[in-house]
Amino acid sequence: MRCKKVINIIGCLSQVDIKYLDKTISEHLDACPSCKKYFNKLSKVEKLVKSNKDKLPPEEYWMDYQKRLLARLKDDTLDKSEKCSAGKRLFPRIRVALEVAAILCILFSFYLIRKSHMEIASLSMVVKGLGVEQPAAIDNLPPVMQQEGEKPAQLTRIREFSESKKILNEVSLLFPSGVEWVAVDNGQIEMGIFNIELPAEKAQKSRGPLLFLNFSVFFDDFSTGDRIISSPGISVFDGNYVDMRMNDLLVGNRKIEYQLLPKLVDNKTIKADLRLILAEDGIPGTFGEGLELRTSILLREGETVEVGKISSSRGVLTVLLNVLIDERKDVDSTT
Amino acid sequence: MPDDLYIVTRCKNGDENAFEELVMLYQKRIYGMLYQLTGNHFEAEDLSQEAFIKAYKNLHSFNGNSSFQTWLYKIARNLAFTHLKKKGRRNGLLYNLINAKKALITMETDPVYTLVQEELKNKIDKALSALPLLQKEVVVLVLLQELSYKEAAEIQGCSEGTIAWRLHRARNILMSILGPGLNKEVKQ
Repeated sequence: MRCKKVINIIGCLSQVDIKYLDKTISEHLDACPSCKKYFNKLSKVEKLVKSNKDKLPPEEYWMDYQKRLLARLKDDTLDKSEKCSAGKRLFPRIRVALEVAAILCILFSFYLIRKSHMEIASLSMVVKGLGVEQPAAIDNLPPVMQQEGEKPAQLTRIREFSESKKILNEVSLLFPSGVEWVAVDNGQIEMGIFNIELPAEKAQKSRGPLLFLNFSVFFDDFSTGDRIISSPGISVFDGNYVDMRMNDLLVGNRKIEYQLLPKLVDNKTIKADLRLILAEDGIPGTFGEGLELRTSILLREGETVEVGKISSSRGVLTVLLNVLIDERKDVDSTT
Repeated sequence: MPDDLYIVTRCKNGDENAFEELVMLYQKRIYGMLYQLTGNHFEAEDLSQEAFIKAYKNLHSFNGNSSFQTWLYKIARNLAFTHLKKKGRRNGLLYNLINAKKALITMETDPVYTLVQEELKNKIDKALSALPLLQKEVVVLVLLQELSYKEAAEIQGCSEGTIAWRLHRARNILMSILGPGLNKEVKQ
């Protein structure tokens, strides 16, 4: 047997004593002086360690040990029961208060969450210092544009912005029923209702009465004394919504941008929401620049209404709306 | 141990004297083990009392799968370990290492070192305190408390082989610390 194995076996013995050794180990120890030396040394160390075990206190100590233990056990039990009874005494009193407080906290949290959602939906937003204006109040519209009992179209002017996605989401919250689309183009926002293009057959069936809305613009140029006229028209029928994205109208060298949303109210009436912007000197206008006219008006068949005038240093722009029966058979939704 | 089980059953049935009998039976051994582990009389007394109280309160959970002695030892050693861990955190983790080094230096450098009983005991204490806790526990349980490997394995929650191996490692460490002193003694 190898020395290493013998040493391992000796080390693992519960008692390092010659009488616990088996025959093989004993024979090896007799033959191997180094292992014998190791065994003797280990045996002495073990005896030394074992000699240290009688370190118990004197007998007097043990006479009181149980008393001390029982007293401690009693104290321990008492402490616990006192704590329990104190808890029982106090807890019912504060339990109701705690429960009420917890419920109030939960309700208040819900209130705060709801409030924050409402604020997002109702307040005008400010994105990087640039705000969305609320729709113009009825009182602020030019008197001539306003029909009794009518609300202006919910058009919104946004001066500049860059975060189109954010705007899209938040504008949808602001105008959940008034705006169905938001378009972003070159830092400007446009919004409106979808132009629903019905399939031909369906359109014929749902077309119903057909009216034609004339949109006439007269520009009286101060410098030349000329009156320049431009008059696009829009066919309006039931189930048809006109695209109200910005259209350009050139009057002389002046570019006019307009949005027109006519809706058929009944067989002979059109509700027209108009927004018009004049840009001087043919410079493309934007929503926030130039002069602006906004109106919402009810027009009956055969009726011609001057919906407003825009005055500038170069001249006066007069806008007329006129409704006719559309006698054309095949018409596009827009002209 | 059938006697133990009989006393424990009585204790479970509300016999207060039975608990006192159990304490009488094990107080010195539990105290001795805790003293060897902690090296402090006050801590040993405190922990031993705590162990008995804990045993008394949890006696209903003792199901007799192991002997009562093993169960009680396990409670005591768990308390001691928790205590020593807390103490270790307070005193620093190098506590054992420093003690071991001190023990070695004292024995090797002191020319007039004699194996005076009291002094020797201090040396042994220091040597024991130099052992890793689990190895020290095995020394205490097997060598000092004279428990079997099986009992020690139950207390430590390991195999008997592990106990044997821990004891072997502990012996080597003890020999490396106490061995030089022994040589001198032999020479003198």
